[in-house]
Amino acid sequence: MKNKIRIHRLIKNFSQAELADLVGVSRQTINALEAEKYIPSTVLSLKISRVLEQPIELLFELEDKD
Amino acid sequence: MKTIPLLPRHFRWIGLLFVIASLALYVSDALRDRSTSGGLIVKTFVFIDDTPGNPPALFQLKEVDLLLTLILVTLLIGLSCIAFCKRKTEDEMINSIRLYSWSWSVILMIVFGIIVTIFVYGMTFVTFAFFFGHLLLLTYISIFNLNIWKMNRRIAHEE
Repeated sequence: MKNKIRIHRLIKNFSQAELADLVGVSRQTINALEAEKYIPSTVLSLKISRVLEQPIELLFELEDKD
Repeated sequence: MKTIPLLPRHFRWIGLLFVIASLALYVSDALRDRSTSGGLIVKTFVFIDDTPGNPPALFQLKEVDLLLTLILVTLLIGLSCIAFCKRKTEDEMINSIRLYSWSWSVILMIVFGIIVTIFVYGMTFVTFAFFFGHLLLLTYISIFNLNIWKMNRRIAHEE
């Protein structure tokens, strides 16, 4: 699954640590999400979507292999 | 949502103390003169004691050497404290790494158990059997911390 978290985080001018604090996870988790090494749960996806003020389908995109 | 019951973070250090105490007991046992010193003979309650050469005992008080028991139990408690303590930040990715580490450690221990059962005999097999639970915890702790270390290294590399 691809995501555009990094782009929208930078648009909002958040650091990884700030976004992590706002959604209640560690900075490592945000880093792993942006590197597409980890697929978030529905709850975390919705929290990120709310903080970045973007619809979830714009932040996350399914790939053919998914 | 269901959460995994974990020990507070400082239990990692308590666990480490138990492991060190266990290793110290093991070293003192290995260095002791077996002809003059008889270990730690204590009268204790046993469920079963069918040591060859001794009359079998069932649910009764009996004098036994508790040193090996003490080494195994302190090591098991120590490793459990380390394995089941919380991280600084507990989140869903840490839980997924935890699940991944448990899965691989169980798979590795099953493979290890099969190999040992087929190819190892005698007292060495009994020794492996003693440490099976300890090895499972040790494998889990190693895989878990290796994954955390790899993740932190990737972040440091990005910076």
